[in-house]
Amino acid sequence: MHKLDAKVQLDGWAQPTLLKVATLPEFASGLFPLERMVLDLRDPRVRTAFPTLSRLPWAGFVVNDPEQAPVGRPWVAIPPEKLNAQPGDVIEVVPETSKAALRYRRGANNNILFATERCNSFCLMCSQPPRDIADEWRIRQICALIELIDKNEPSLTITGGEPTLLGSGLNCIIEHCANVLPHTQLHVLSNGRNFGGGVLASSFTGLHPALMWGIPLYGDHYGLHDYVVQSKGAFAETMRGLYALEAAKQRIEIRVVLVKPVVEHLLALVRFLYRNLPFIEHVALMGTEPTGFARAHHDELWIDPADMSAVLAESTDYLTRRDMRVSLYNLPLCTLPRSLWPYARRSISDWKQHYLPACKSCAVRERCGGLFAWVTPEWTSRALKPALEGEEQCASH
Amino acid sequence: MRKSLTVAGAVLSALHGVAHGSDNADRNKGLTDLAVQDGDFAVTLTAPLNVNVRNMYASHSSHSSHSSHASHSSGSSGIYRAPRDYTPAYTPAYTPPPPAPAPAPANSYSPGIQPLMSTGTPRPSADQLRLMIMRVQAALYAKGYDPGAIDGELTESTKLALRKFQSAHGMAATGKMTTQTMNTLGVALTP
Repeated sequence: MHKLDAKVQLDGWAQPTLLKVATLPEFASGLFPLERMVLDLRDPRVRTAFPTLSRLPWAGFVVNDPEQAPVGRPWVAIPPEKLNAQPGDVIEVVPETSKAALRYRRGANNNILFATERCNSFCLMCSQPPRDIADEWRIRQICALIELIDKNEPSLTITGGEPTLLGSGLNCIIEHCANVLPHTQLHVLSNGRNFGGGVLASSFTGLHPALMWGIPLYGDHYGLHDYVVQSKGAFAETMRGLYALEAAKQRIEIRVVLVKPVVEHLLALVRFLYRNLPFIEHVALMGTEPTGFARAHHDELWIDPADMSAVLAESTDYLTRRDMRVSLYNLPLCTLPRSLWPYARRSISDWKQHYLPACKSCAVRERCGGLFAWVTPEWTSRALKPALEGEEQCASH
Repeated sequence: MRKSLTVAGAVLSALHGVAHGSDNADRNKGLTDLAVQDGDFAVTLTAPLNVNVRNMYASHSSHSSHSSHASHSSGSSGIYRAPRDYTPAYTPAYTPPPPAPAPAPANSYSPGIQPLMSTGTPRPSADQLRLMIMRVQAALYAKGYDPGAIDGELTESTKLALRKFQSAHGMAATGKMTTQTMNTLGVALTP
């Protein structure tokens, strides 16, 4: 697991600033203003060209130690062991707290734009417990960040909190993505409850060339869904929201977190999806991330993935036979029957990915998403064991 | 690229269908529409950096014609003077998107054909040219060629490095900053 922020030495910065880390290729490309980049003097080739390059109007410099910085210019010292900031990444330097944070990582499998900490649901297994604070400042920050992201970034995820609580700010962010990063697929994670009226949903029609909404649904009955999201009336609102999104020609993925009460009724849920929401493009069945509220509700939520095998197999089979795409996330391969391996995705963000000592000898480790870094024994399946050499052949049949 | 291939494929098969009887036309139209929609989600693997952009740097083989450069050897003061024409600076959020690439001039030439007179092509300012040469030098150096220094001067070593790079990538070794060379180097022509 890598840290995403760290205390660092820095000087010359007046306010929190987003900066693109630049070496020679980033300078050569000319795609980002020099005034919004920091020249990475940790790179030996950059140091060779330092005398001429350093006279350009860079926002500042990334150094290994403060002596390297040109006199009178802003700098931040980021030793690699403290923070893994690479060329092309976007960092934020925060002078008040002497911190540097990674806001975009080139080549990472899951870069997010964090929209808001506010939420109108309080899901039992929320990994990002909401806070009711005014954080509209994030809209500006996200738009500034978008401008520094690589133009060939394949995908970004807008998440929170509940992004629709930004109101028209969310439209601004999505429109800005469409303008600045037209080739980047956008995935917005929302609970869909605010779309019920239809006006909000239709405001997204045609706004972005490659936008997908990820909306959770936890049961075929309001009682179960409202219990999981701890909000009365949420099921009805989300269902109305899903139809409003469909009417607004939006692409929709249904996301199901595999907590115990949901797994117990999973087959009923996938039947419900097929009958009532046949327009959805993808169903994501996801293992629980054991952090946030989830840790407080272990007894209510935990079910060993080994005990889900039968219902997972039946549910994926039901959906696949009906031409509905389904994928499994956050579940180690060894906890799944081999017939389900083709549906399993390496989904855990690389910076929080973790493997156990037992995984060392596993033959399919490279294809396995591993575990969340914060997994504890009580969140670990009894089925975890290394897959043996040769066994993995069967997976393709 | 893949997007255009996807769509082109669908259009071709639609035409094929038309040639074999028009009763399939509606279905083919539907297929084409689907392909167009899918195209939005195809991963764009490589898109050339500079498309429909006038290259005002391509004709520069020598740097000496710009007398203004004499005043620009910044010496060892270490203080950078912002170039007169360098404007982008910080783009605040909520501003409209960067302007679309400049449209081709009314008397546009076919791609690849150099005009005899460059009346319609603006010339870069000394600072623009200097910065662009520095970018090209940085790109050459990053790719393992030796441009001499990253100093914004189109020196013999830089031109030699450009020619080596061009012949290694199947281009005519002109030593000039052609659009194709800039694309292959990963240097955008627009600021």
